[in-house]
Amino acid sequence: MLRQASKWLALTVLMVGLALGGVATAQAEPQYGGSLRVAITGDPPTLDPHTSTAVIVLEVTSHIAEYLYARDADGIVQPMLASALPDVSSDGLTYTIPLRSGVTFHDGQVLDADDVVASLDRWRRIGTGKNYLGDASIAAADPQTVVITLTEPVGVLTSVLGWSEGAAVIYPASLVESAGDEPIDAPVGTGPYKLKEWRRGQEVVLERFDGYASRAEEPSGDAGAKHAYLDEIRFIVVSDAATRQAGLESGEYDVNYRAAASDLEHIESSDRMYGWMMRPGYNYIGLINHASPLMQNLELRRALQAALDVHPLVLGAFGAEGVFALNASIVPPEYGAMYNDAAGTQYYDVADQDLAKSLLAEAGYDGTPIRWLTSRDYDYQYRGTLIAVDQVSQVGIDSEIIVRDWATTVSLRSDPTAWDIFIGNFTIAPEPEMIAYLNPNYLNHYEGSEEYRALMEQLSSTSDLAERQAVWAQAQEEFYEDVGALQMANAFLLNAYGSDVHVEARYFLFQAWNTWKD
Amino acid sequence: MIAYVARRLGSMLATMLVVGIVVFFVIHSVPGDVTSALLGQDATPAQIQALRQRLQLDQPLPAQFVAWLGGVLTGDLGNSNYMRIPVIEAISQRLEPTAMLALAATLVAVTLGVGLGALAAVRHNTAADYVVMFIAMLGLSLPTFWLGLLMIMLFAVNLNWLPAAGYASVTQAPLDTLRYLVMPAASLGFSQAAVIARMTRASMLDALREDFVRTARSKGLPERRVVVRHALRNAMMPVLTVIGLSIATLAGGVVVTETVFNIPGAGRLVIESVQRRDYPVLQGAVIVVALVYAFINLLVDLSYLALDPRVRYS
Repeated sequence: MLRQASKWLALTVLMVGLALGGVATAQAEPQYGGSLRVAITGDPPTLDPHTSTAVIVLEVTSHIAEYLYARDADGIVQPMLASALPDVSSDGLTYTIPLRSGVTFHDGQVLDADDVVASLDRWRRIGTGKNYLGDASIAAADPQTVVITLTEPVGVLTSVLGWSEGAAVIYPASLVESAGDEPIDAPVGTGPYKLKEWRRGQEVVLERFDGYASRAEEPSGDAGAKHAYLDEIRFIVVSDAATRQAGLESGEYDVNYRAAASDLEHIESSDRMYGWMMRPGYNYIGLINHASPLMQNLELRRALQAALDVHPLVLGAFGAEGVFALNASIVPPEYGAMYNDAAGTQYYDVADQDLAKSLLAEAGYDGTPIRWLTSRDYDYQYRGTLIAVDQVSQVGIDSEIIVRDWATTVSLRSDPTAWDIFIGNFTIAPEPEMIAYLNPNYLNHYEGSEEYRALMEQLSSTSDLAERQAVWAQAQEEFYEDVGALQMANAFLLNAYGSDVHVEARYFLFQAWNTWKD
Repeated sequence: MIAYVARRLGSMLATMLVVGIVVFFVIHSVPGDVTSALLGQDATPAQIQALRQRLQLDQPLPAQFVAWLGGVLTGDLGNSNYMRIPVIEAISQRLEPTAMLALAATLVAVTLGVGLGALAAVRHNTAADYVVMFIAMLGLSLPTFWLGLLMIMLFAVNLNWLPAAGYASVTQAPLDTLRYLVMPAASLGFSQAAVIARMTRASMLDALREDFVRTARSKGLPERRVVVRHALRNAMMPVLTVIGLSIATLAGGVVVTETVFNIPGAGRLVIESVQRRDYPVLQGAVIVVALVYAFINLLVDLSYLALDPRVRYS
């Protein structure tokens, strides 16, 4: 009886201990101070998101400069430098944007409407903004209000103003004027960290901006409060993946930005570090060059679509489960509203060789090899291509694999006569209009059927969410029927952290605000 | 000798010109340019074309070459398209880590190579000789990057004795410079030490059989003095040639070692510039490396004068 009681006592003590420990961990108070050493994959080409859509650019500069709006963890647009969502006129042409007061730039200037006007104008002139703002008028109604008057409705304007890739960051008007169209290498923003030093090819050092005017809302994704707990963030260029990982394990770095997927199991089994899988990552697809005469054969495209067995292909490409998710929807689930896993997805991952063969016969395929462009610089591209080539060969499609280094591959992709299909990662966005490979000006030259074009045109001028969802559902159906691309999966991005690094709120991109070290 | 040096310097200039022409046209014959690295992968063909125009990459190749050569002849290597800083500045920022690494690796290679080679010769056909030769074979066989990764796993990750990667400037933290350079210098210098050890051993064996060594011994000189002052000094002529070649080989090895140990040196700059197709930096870096190589060759040739009084340059 006594032994029984002792056992219960011991068990109770253990449970209480675990509970307290758990609570202690969960409620660990954030600490100020310290330097976070982030091993990044390469030197950013610029620190100016107006001039580059490279992910490394936006992940570094999002600490320095902010946009009018930002997305929360559920993918919903929230105000950031704006004080509220825009007031949109009934015809959808006029956006009145109120600004927050009391926001200062790193150089001490106070944010006002002139800064926003100058920045948005530059973003339109040299960045991705020209796709949305076109010939719109951008003007300051008063120091705290900006008015954008469009020539035709743009359904995604608010969404775009809160999007991080090629972001519409706000600089002081004086900086915009002095920089002109040249990339800004010493950005001045309103973010929680300011640029301290950029040693090209070596590191970008940021330090806390003590005058940061944080929002009051709870941190969520890219939105809400941004607490600059760390004194300093050092983005150290470490191009070799094995060195980044070894540096994390030896304590040389605190974060391995873009750990190798093959290290996932090792990272998860260690108590010295932990991994964070950033979802949705990229869209892993077969990009079809619609300018290629061979690829203009719809039945051949359908035969390719029917021949692919997606899971083994993607698993073989990435080498491990857990680092990707099969996804039929062009907009991934993590981005919320426009996700649709029903429309057209009967064409997804069919893996029906008989169907593929009959479609091939209908196509009148004469055995002309399909040119698959790929690079060994990224294993997942090369391996995925090899597997795809093997799968389509089983239904009688001949292939030619063009293997080049990455810089050459990128160059060849811009040549519409040089390739037919390229398998790789492509950036994705919450709105279809913001996805590059749905844009007819992109390197896959996809214009789609007449009906698809009409639907996309309708979508771009629609801002009502329910209506947008309905229109996009039809457009996605058309995209699948027309085989605009070979949709496969979302490839996640793995970041590995030292176990002494804590992050309050996470986004689908790397952020070091709301982050502290023990 | 002054005339000889002047002649060599003149021929170096001609060599640099040839190197410049070859490197320009070889680099430009490879597809791709810097625009994709600058703009990101979502850039449209129109944006790429606009940037190509701004960087004058759309100009005919001969026109680009004439513009570049004109700059080089006036001492201007141009600006980096990727970093937007002068090429001279980009390269000079990276020279210190490379120079320190090459120096440290050379010290490792020469100290180990000459020391072990001399030991093997003196202890010819003994266990010491066999062990040294085994180590030399190992050094020749192990790829530098693999040895580097093994050292990182052992000394940085498991034992936590040394930093896994990085570099500290010798002007700011000399002791840290040493800590950061121990592993890269050892991994890079080891293979060259093997080459030098084999040459030293062979050359020493020949020297030890010479009459002047027998004479020195018969005069009753201590064995250490016979070996160091007489045999080793006379054996050094071919060894010096190998050391000169080793330094040149190290320049190639530096590229890999800097990548593995994340040393921000000129070797890594070359690799990065190839990947980004940053032509001006690549062209400038190749010319600087060729210049350094030529100078080292000249110095090696001149050092024969100090070692062998019979050598004359006229």
